[in-house]
Amino acid sequence: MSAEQTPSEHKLAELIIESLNLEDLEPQDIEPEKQLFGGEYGLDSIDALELALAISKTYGVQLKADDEKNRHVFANLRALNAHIESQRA
Amino acid sequence: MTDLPLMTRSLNEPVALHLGQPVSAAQFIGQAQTLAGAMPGDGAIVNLCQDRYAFGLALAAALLAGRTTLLPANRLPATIDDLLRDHPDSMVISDHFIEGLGHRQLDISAMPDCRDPADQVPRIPADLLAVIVFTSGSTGPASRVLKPWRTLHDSGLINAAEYGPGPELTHLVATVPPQHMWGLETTVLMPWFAPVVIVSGQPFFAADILALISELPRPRALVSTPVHLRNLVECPQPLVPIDRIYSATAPLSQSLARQLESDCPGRLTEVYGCSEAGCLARREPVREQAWRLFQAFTLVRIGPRFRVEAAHLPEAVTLLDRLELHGDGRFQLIGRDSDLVNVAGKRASLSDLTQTLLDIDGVLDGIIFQPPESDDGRVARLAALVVAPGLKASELRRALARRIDPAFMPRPLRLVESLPRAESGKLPRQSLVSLYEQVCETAG
Repeated sequence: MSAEQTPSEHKLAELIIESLNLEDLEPQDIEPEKQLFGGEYGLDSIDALELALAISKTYGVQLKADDEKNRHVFANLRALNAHIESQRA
Repeated sequence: MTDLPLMTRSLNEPVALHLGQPVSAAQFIGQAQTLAGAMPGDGAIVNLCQDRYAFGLALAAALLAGRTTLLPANRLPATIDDLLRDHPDSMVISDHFIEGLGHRQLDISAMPDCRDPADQVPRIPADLLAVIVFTSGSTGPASRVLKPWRTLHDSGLINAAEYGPGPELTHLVATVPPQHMWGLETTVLMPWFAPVVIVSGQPFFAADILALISELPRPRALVSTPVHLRNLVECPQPLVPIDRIYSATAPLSQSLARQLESDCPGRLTEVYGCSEAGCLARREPVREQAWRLFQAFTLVRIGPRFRVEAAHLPEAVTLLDRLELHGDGRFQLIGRDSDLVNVAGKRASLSDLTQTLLDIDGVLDGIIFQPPESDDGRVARLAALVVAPGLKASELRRALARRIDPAFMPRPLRLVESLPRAESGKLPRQSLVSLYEQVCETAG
């Protein structure tokens, strides 16, 4: 699997940085398959809330935590992007 | 020896809604009795149940068996390991099997079905050490708060009278974990002492909260925090009527408070407290600025600080917050001791956090601090300025992420050539803030 961001992943990375005030990161610093929460990016559950809000405003997709899939959805940039694209389709 | 009832609800009244099914007090107590009989050993119980119903059941079972419940500050593996090392005869109760624990554990979800419903409400010795709450300790050992059953029992009754939803049976949904004091008092104990049905489960995202609440009969209430409530108000989905909204852990902004009451619509109550004393004051922020101290408590000024006293507390508690006392017994919060910070309800010492930063190989100097506040309603995060010529910011972040709770991860974390220390070695706040603003501006 590629560690390069696709254009839509790059756009989501920009949204993550903007909505979570991660101004000392650049969008390309978010590696598509690296753990997004609880890892070195230092993101926690409050960030997950902020990010869900930004995603609902930008993409019109409501994230839900009530199914098992959720862990997987938030695993990394690639999984999150794939989930958003599947919900929009 | 004095004893006090496990609850003041009638046996036929519903106390919980679990997996969509109402559970009566008699059924709940019956299940707790079954669980109490199935717990091996006689040491303390480490209650790691995530489901609110399972948590309440395990707490009740421990009380019935006369065993103390230990509540760790968080679920990080290192925290649990430390706790179990200090309490080798304890056992873990959880609602799922925890891999790699290496300690005796009981999985409540694998329990046999309940025996018959109870035919009376059991009584618990008032001086049984019911719960030990471990507060975070950003680093280093956590501090312990002791809660005899008398304290929990009386807190339940006091809270029901001071801010309970009222005489009509109310369904209560919560976004806060049951392990921390706010969640414990309001979502676990409240249903034992007030006409409340607690809805098990813990909705997280705005869409989850709205979906869960809209299915409930009215009146219905939400127990939450400013973070979740702001998220709810800003969510593009329309809100649903919520009759009572409760917020704690940090002050709500006036505009968020007004918006909540008009959009839901519902009545909003903020509750103030701390792990040591429990809930102790309330206000309705749309209509009043000052907090009303609960009748059971007294405030005593000790130098610049205040101490709260109450008959049901094992000892008086000195508050970390600074207060301004009004003549009528109301008060305002005017800040904290500057070393202690509260990020999203978790407490930490800035000097402990800074020490953790300084302990990283290659860090020559550095500080973790609270940057000047912005007023956008977001959780105020910490910031760090670090002198570490051989390290990259990403390496520092990785090293810190291994050592501190994500809530306290500084952001931004900026590398600088030096810190503006005075000759004494001290770092004047003003110089620190201007360097911070300067590096943020250059980078932005």
